[in-house]
Amino acid sequence: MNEEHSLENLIDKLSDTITRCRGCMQCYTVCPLVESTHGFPTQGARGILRAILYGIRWDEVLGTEDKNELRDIVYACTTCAACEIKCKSSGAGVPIVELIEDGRKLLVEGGVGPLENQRIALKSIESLGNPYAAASESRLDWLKAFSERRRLSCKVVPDDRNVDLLLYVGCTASYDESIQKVACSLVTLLEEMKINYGVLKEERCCGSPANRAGERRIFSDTSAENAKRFEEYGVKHIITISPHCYNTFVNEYPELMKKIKIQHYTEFLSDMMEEGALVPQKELGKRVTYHDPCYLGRRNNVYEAPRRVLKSIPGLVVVEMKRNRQDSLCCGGGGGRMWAAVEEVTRLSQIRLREAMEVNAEIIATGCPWCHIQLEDAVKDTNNEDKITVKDIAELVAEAL
Amino acid sequence: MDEIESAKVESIASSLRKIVGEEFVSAALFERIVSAEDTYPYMLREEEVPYAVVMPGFKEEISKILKFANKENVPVFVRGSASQLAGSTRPHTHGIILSINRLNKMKIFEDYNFFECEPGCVVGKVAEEIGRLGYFLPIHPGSQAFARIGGTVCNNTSAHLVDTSIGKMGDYIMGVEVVLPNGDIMETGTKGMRRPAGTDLTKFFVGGDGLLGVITKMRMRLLPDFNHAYAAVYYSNVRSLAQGVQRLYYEKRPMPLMMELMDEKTAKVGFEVKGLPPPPGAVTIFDSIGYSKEDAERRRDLVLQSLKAENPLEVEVIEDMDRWRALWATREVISSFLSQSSGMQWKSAEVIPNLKYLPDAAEECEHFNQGLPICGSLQNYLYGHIGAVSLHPGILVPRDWDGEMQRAAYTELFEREAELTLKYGGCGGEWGQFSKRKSFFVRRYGEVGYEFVKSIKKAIDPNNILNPGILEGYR
Ligand SMILES: Cc1cc2nc3c(=O)[nH]c(=O)nc-3n(C[C@H](O)[C@H](O)[C@H](O)COP(=O)(O)OP(=O)(O)OC[C@H]3O[C@@H](n4cnc5c(N)ncnc54)[C@H](O)[C@@H]3O)c2cc1C
Ligand code: SF4
Ligand code: SF4
Repeated sequence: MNEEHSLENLIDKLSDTITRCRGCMQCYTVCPLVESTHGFPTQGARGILRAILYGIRWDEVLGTEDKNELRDIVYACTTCAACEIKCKSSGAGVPIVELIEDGRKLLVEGGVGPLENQRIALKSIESLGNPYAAASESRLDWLKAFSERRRLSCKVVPDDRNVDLLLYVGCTASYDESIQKVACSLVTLLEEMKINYGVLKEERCCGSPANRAGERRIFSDTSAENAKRFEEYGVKHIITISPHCYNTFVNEYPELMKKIKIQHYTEFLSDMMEEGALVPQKELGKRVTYHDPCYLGRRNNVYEAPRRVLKSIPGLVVVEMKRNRQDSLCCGGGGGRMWAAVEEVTRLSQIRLREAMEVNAEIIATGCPWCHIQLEDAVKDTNNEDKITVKDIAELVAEAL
Repeated sequence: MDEIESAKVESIASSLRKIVGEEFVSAALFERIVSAEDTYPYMLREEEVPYAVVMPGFKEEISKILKFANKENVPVFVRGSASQLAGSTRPHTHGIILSINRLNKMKIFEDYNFFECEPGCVVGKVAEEIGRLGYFLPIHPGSQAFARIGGTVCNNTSAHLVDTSIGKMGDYIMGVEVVLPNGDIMETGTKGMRRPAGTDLTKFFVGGDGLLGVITKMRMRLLPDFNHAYAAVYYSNVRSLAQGVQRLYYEKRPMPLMMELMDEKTAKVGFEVKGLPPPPGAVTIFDSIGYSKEDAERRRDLVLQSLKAENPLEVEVIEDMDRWRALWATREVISSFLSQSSGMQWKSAEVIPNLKYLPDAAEECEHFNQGLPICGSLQNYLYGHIGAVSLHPGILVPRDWDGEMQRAAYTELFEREAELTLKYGGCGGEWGQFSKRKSFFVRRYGEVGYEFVKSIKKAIDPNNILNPGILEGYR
């Protein structure tokens, strides 16, 4: 398939599928953009889709400024999929997120997308294997530092390929100082359970940010290379820290990934607890609420495993926020928005924080590095550090050992 | 967009910014386009693209915008959620889109027995707020979750509610606050429990099709919530079902709050989508209300007595709320499901017969599009708020027809709707009187009736600044 041909296909598919939207407006009732902005009509699912349609049909009359406006509309979406689930609940459903991401692909082909900071992040993925412009050699620094504090049995693949489980750390837990502790907690748990596990010596980004930004080529290069390596190293079982890596491996990687068992770490911990291999002993005596990350919950239907893990911690009182599971509110960090200065009148993470505080939670637990960062910022920005803290589930389990 | 256009866009936007502030005005092309769209499938014509979109937060700002519009002779199109189904929210010329969605505060005064809310409040949210205190909102469209109070007041819609059960929403509205087209601000109605006798200014605006002013607040009586009892009755054909409904009136039964119809073909779709076994025939589901559970059940049983006289295939008394919700959902999913799964766009029509000819009208609506030059061969479905003697035939219009063809199809279907409603002696009860429905109005009330409205409009809005096109009948 040559480029032009596939571009035409993309346009045909978009024109056809967008017009399946019947304008029932249900998607506006759940879209986090509506909630976090002034709610102009392009700040919601149907509006974004219609803008894409006009972008295609009126292409010839559009100037640069118009195209940039279209880009900002299309890239504002968090890809949280709340609209899609709503849309499907009252009909056959329009694949909204796929269409928005296809719209982004089209903008990339036209040289209009992605957003400036996303461009920088994607370049960095290509050259350094992470979106943070961090040196690839320092990717495992967190592990080295941790191993100075405690003896670890962690293997480094492919130097030692004989592992049962590969911990795919992901870029954020590798480089972001506030999330490295999550990786350390998870390693502590793997050690505790005496799992024969390892990490990749040269782990690279899973490519999710490229897909969210509509950069097909960068994603296909990245995913093909990663998948090839997993195969070459004989990897049988992967757990990820980020739901974004998890989603990408499960839903977007080449077929050959199907041979590998892929789990989010909370699913793995839940299995281990069920087998009796992991038993938290210490009382935590706190009130906790769980924030469902979009890419774990709505995108992959993993709602219960994280809750089971939390509920197995003695003394922890688990309360639900008003919006939970399928109705969970996006933290605002998905869809490539970690690299986008999207206009927000009320920050989504702050709305979410308020919801947690409304049920008197002392801890917001989550299982996603980006949700973690967003929510932690919200706590700081609203000066609520003395009332509530953000923790990953792995951290809580490790504390309860 | 040519040079002159963009200069005009800029100058209008900058004047609006001075009134409401920078962030509440958009002059960006895609915002203007999408803000002029409604739920119709066809795209705008270039001459319909607005100059700017403005989102005022206060009535004083709306007043200034209207004064500015009069001075500059620029039309203002008011927009809630743009879900109106007769084309009222689609501008037909360049102009300013005025979104009322920032006006979204409400306050409940239990000691006065009313609540007040601004037009941008979402209907479903208002229902939830007063519901928490044990009150019922007499506004229940399928669009509850997103339709706004302002648009609903302008239509004075009965929606799913049976008028002869508790009346129309307008019967509960005690007053409104409006900004008139010249910018003057006026309050109507009362805070007392008695309705004004004689001239009641409220009536110019409730069901006023948005012609005479921008509503900035409404006051509504608090109606105590009811107890409910539910049932479903299945018939081999819609005629028997419709005759059952006639009996309710003839036999002096207490009318249910809501009473829906699906013909067999339509019901089969809804039941299948919701994973239920196929219904044995055409179905009506209804919700009887009473002051106690027993009272509601007694009323339901009275309704069933009449319905049973028309030889139903099956009578199902519903005690389980999950079952009721599932049946209700079968009715709600139809239009979305059929649109999204086929290559078609659902277009409803609203045919309102008199009571006497309801069975004939219902039968005819099963073949609503028969013989139409453009839409004659398309698929026809039928549901309706049968207790209210209201029928909604639905037609699937192909998505791949070009925009002008779709417009023509919609016009044809509205004409057919007018023809049948004229034939059977009723008048639309849900979507307003003008825009795509103007021809019904003129045929039903004559040039005299139409001129009457036009002269009122002209007196109040001499420059035709506010929502032009609605009265003229936008095609
Ligand atoms: C899926 C779906 C289901 C629906 N179900 C029903 C139903 O069951 N029953 C029913 O009756 N309708 C139904 N509708 C139609 C529609 O939702 C209603 O007519 C609703 O009342 C419109 O509200 P809105 O906020 O969308 O108003 P809009 O469409 O934005 O506005 C409607 C009209 O009112 C004017 N207007 C709005 N606010 C003001 C204001 N403050 N001052 C002056 N003028 C104003 C506008 O200019 C326009 O002419 C449905 C629509 C959809 C899409
Ligand atoms: S919910 Fe689906 S069909 Fe309805 S307006 Fe949104 S995208 Fe369109
Ligand atoms: S995916 Fe989320 S943010 Fe994007 S349009 Fe849908 S609901 Fe809105």
